[in-house]
Amino acid sequence: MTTAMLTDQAGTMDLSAHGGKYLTFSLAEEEYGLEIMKVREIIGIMDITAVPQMPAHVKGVINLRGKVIPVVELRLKFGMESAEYTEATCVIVVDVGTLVGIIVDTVQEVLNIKGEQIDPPPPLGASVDTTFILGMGKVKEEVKILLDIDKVLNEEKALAAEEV
Amino acid sequence: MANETNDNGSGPDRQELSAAIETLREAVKTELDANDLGRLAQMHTACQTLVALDGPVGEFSSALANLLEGIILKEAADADRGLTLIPQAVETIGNAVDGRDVDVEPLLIQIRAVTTSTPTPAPESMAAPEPATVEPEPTSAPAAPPGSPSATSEVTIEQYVAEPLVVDLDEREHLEGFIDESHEHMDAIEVALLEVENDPTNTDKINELFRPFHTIKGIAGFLNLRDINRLTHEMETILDLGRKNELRIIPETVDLFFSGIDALKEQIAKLANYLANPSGDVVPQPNIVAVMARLHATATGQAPPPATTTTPDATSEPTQAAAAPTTPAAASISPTPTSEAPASEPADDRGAAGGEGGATQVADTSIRVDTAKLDFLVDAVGELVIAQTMVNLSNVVSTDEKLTRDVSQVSKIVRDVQETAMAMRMIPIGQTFQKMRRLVRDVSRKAGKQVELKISGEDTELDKNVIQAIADPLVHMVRNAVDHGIETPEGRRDAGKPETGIVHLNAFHQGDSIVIEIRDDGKGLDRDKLIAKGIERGLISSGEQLSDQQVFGLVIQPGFSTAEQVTDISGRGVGMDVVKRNVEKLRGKIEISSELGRGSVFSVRLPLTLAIIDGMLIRLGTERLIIPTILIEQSLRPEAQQITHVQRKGTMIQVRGELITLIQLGPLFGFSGPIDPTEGSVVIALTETQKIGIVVDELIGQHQVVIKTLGERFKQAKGISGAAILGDGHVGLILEPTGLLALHSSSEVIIPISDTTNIAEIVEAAAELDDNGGSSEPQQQELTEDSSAPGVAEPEAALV
Repeated sequence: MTTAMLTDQAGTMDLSAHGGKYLTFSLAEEEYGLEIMKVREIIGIMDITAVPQMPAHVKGVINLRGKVIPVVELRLKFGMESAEYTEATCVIVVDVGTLVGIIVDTVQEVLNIKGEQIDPPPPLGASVDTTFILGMGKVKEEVKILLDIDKVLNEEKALAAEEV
Repeated sequence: MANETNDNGSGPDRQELSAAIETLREAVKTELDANDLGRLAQMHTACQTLVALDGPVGEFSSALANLLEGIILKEAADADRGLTLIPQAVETIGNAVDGRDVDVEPLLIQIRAVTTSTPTPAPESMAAPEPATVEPEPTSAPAAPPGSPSATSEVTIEQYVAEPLVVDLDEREHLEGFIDESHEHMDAIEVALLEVENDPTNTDKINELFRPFHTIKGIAGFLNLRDINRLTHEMETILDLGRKNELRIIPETVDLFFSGIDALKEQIAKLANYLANPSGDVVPQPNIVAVMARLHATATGQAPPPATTTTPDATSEPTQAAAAPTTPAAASISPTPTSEAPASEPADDRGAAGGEGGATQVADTSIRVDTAKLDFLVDAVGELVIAQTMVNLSNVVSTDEKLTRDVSQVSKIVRDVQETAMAMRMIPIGQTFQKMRRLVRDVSRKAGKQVELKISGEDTELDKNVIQAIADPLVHMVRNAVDHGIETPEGRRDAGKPETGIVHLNAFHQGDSIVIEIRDDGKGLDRDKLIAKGIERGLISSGEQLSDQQVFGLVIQPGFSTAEQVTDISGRGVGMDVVKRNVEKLRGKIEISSELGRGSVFSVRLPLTLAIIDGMLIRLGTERLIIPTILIEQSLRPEAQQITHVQRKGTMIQVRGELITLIQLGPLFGFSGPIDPTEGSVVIALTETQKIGIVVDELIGQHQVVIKTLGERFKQAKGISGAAILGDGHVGLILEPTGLLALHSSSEVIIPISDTTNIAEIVEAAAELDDNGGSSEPQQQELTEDSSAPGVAEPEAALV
């Protein structure tokens, strides 16, 4: 669905369907948003057990109250440089069919972004992958990159599968 | 008469009447089909309304209703012709109700003729020639004379024709419930049947057998499962005769019952398949004509059950014949021991049956719970235990005396809850064992052997999932024991053994595992033959010194072709490698011991539950990993001279004269650099094909861990089978040696080494080691002698 919308950037795309509450967080100066419905919980950075033979951004697994769930470092996933974990580093547990933790620099706030505040992602050239961007949320003077987290993590799954 | 449709009296009012007529007229507008049960049933209801009318219309409607019922229940003598008569009949009724003068008599006779099986002379006005009304089943229905006197209402075999079964998917829930329930009943039937065979005059036992049949029959009738209903009906009839002493139950009768039960099982299996995956309108059904014919013939006393064995039992007395599994060979060679040996058995069996009976009563106090709920409970309790441990470890707790007391009280309760939750998934293995009785009986008869199955330890409890998974391997092993382990009666006599062989199934707890033993007193495994075969198959090399366990283990190796080894029928080991794989999937082991001429014992050692394993916790840098204890042969702190490097790529360790590949997890997993084996420890683990040595920094100790499977995302990680949550809440990965070896073989890790060693030195090193390798614990000896390596003074024996 999203793909269809995104490929239709020039035309009469309706992004108002994406209006709603977003959890915003930052990654290396950039600000992102994540549909609140996908978020299960936010926890501080904790001990991660590395799993071998995984792509670099798959940091390993954690114990979420008895459940073993994978953790993905979003910086590495987006091709940014890894940063040292600080007090502010958080794991956002998202539900994409299964639970997955994503590591982000800082969690900011929950914003209500209306449909008319969302613009389609601008064409950024071939070097930037925009397929997992829902749209650009304009809040006051700032722009939040709204993520389609299902797509973000699905692609990661596909990547992992290729390594067999 | 026909006008008597006014509102007075108890008859139907005009409105109902015309609705009924309308229904009938509507229904016959298109050609009728015997399988269109909905339409037929609708017509039947309409007729019932009309039956209330007085006079010929009522009478006629009643006849039509009977015909429709006959067609619906597939009991009509000639359904096809009946169907062609219906439109005519509807017209006649219509006319009569409308007040026209009609002569219903000729048609009435015709309708009655096609409804019941008693052939009536064809009326003169018949358009089509009257077909043979009663056609005995042409195929394989031996000696079933036509025209059973038991006539109309009774289902008779002569009328039995396989009809397509149509089920209403709206009734799916009921049908599925029936399928579940009937499995239980059939298990009960098989057990009871064998008891009846041993003691055919015991009416209590026959009654016990009667009940499950009756239940199946009742429900099947309710659900319109016609074939199942009829099969059980016939068997019930035979049992009824049996308990009234009007029919003697002989082994052939029991055989016949087993055929009947097999037919039932097949029916139910087909139905289950259909429900799982409904395709088409009709449930595929096996042909039960032959078995129905035989059952019916027996039930009506018209023919003896056609015996599979044609040996006359004239030599033996009735009871003995019933008790002894009469194979032709047995009966003709020596009737005396045959009749004596089993004669003493029923007593044993009754003892076992008493236990069973007790179990049935216990079942009344139990409830059925969805296994998903149980699994959830076990998971939740696992989490509770982990959380509890974390609280216990907290520093705050130890500073407050009251808190410490309270926490330990909670710990105790949590442990109780955990035990109970685990116990809830445990069920006794008895039922699985009982199923083997039938198998032993069938296989032994087919193979012409006399085998007695002894069962003990049936109260031993196992995790439900384990029991399910072990059932098939058990069938394989029991069949092998009977087919290949036990000799023929002649063979046994020549060997000076009783002609009846014994297969003993036993289950018991041993430590944290459960052992299931299949013991036979047959010919045993021939060590020399196995070795010869093993060499031929390239599984072992000649001149190898092999322990008994290794030699006997060959029979469960894949690729150990079984064509003419050990026995000549099909060879022990049919599917034994499959058995091995299944057992290993359960993290179990098969141990075989055998003595030529005396028999063999196959022991399956299984963990009590699938959710928890015993593991050795190891440290690798900052990571902690778990190696399942069952896959560990030993762990040791190696000496420098035990280690050999090959072309700077591979490292080997020599343990008791054996060269074992060393695996460095750090580089292999990309966690860290290699560890100097002499500074750490080596865990010798078993893969499917060979041993490997895993180099670790430290052995932390043995732990029981709750297994958590890793998600899809991690399936492709080789050498990891899952994860477990450790006592402090950290996640530890569980290593899987076979995958590790595969990963190691495919990787190109170059191991930096300081000294130059080459392959030529291996021999030298080996020779050196052999000199001081005489004692059973050479590593330990060397360990204490060595003082150069740091950290070696730590006690190590406790960890091994």
